[in-house]
Amino acid sequence: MKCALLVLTAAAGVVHASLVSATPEPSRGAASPEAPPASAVSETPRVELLGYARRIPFAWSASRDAPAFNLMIFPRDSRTAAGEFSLVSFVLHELTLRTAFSGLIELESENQTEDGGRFALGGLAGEGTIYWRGAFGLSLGASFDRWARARCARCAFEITVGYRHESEHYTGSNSGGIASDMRDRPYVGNAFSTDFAFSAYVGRFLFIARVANRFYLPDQSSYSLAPALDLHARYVGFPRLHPFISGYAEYQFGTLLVGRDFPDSYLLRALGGIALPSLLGDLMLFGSGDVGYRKGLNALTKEATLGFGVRLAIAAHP
Amino acid sequence: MLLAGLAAGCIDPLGQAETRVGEVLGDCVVPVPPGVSSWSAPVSLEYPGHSLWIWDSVTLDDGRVVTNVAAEVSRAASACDGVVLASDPAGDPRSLLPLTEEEQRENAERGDGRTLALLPSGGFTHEGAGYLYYERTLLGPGIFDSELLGTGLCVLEPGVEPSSCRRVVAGGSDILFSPAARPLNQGGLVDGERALIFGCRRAAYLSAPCTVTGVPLGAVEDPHLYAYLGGNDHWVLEPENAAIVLDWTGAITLSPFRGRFIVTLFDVFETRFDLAFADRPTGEFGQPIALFHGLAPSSFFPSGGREHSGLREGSDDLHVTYFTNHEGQGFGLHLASFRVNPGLEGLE
Repeated sequence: MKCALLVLTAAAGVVHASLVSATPEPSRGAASPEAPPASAVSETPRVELLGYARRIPFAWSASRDAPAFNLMIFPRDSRTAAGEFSLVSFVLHELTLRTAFSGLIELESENQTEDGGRFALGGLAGEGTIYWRGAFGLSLGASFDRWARARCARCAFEITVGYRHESEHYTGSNSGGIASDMRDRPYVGNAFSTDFAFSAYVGRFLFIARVANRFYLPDQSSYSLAPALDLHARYVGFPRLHPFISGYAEYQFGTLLVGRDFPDSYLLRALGGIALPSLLGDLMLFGSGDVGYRKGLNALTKEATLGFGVRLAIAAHP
Repeated sequence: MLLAGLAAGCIDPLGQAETRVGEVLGDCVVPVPPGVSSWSAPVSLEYPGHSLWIWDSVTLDDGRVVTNVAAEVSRAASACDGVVLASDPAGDPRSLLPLTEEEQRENAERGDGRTLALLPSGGFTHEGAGYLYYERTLLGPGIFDSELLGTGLCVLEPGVEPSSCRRVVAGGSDILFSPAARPLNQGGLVDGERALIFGCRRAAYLSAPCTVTGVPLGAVEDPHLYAYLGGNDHWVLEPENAAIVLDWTGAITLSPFRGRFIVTLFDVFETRFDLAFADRPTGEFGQPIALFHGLAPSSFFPSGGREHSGLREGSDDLHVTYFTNHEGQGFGLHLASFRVNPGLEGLE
């Protein structure tokens, strides 16, 4: 209860700050309900090199796999360096195709943050083992710009299919400590994925909904399927400050891997805070709340947490 | 706002999920046979298609104690309905390995509270014959006062009902191996032209190094031809050159499994059965994999813990026995069956 009250207090502070600090000057990368977005539909077919991986950002998601630079200060120190970029985009009349690459490295403390000073001085702020996970993926996205625009002026619809690999690790003792036995820990492994994303501006609000699923390859993961629902809403009435909330729900169906039955797992997670749009993307300050299973080698541990973090999300507004 | 947000961090643990490497098919309490008031966990000899369970002693309803009683068990399911002890014409359980009249007389004449006992510890079978090792032991006066006098061997001839196990005598004594010699207390199996017998000897708290002793099949009754497995797969006579293949304080059972070899390990502190794989019967064994927990005793430790490969009907099944003094209906001798998941340790 104490935690909840503190978070409500923090959220109230965020809203207050957004109202008093917003300025009328639009930034180049930020969206506004009146002006077309930076990634507006083009009528001229062309090929573009390095760019944003998606028309509808995933980097604002409450998913732990969101492709963004993320620093969770509380409840435990977790630092993520992740991103996704389009290598080549084909802007066609009816749609835009984006071939993309994504990568993720995440370090996470075993225990709760106790020494905040370490955030400035290096190392993780939590005691105990450092867990980390790494992932990479390749994807092909198709944003059906004309089709979406025909239905509403500032809507976007995008389908993305991809392949993703993730592995889990921990940092062993440098002083001769005994190694941990991790044989029973889930292995995320290899999966094909698909997601359907839709975004729309309604008045001064932007809404994003994404339905996704991972199809894990047989004998290459502790899971078989992982459906997920991802929601994001933000107020875009202030050009330089967007209050937002993100919600994410996933369920992973456990399966048999190397003779071991892995249990199902789930995660419900929400973020709420402010996003500061810029030319490149958003700086996001947020409080978080989640219930479900941890990630990485601690994926058998179920818990509920409240926390706080900062994110750099490199993504264009839809 | 920032300070309030920082203070918000908290974690509420909700539980820990577990993975499984198979499923428990059953865990029954084997009914005590008629006329028997108490027994314990058996050791066994594993024949193709059946298992011979051997209890070092059972107490009859009339208070008499019969040592080294055996029962032939052919199926796990039938054992859960009861086992039939080998008996004499009068219907009383019969000792497979009785004391001689002289040994009985010595016991009767003792005044120090100690009793000579022959405690079977397991063995191996080959071409229908059973080779059962036993520890010649002085028991008492307290339960922790037993003294090992040496290890002997008796032979159950093939084709004969399990009525009498012939003691092997060498040099005028049935003690083939001195207490300081190689341990042979965890059973074994035949690998090629050699019998391999596991043995563990307590060396320290929570440490019982286990060694493998081998003997050519044609010379099983000659104690001088037993040798330790040493390093680099050489057979050695000196105990200090023996290879430690395991270190385990509970019961271990070596058996073939899915074309490889396993040791089934009984953790008496957790009442848990573990499994370790190896490509050869002499190791190297992998790290133990937890299989399942039995019913924990209400006090002290469970006993037994042997795996009975002779009861396997499916290639993935394991059958184990253990005795627990759990208060209530779970008290007694348990026979648990476990089916190992396909693919465990990349076996397939």
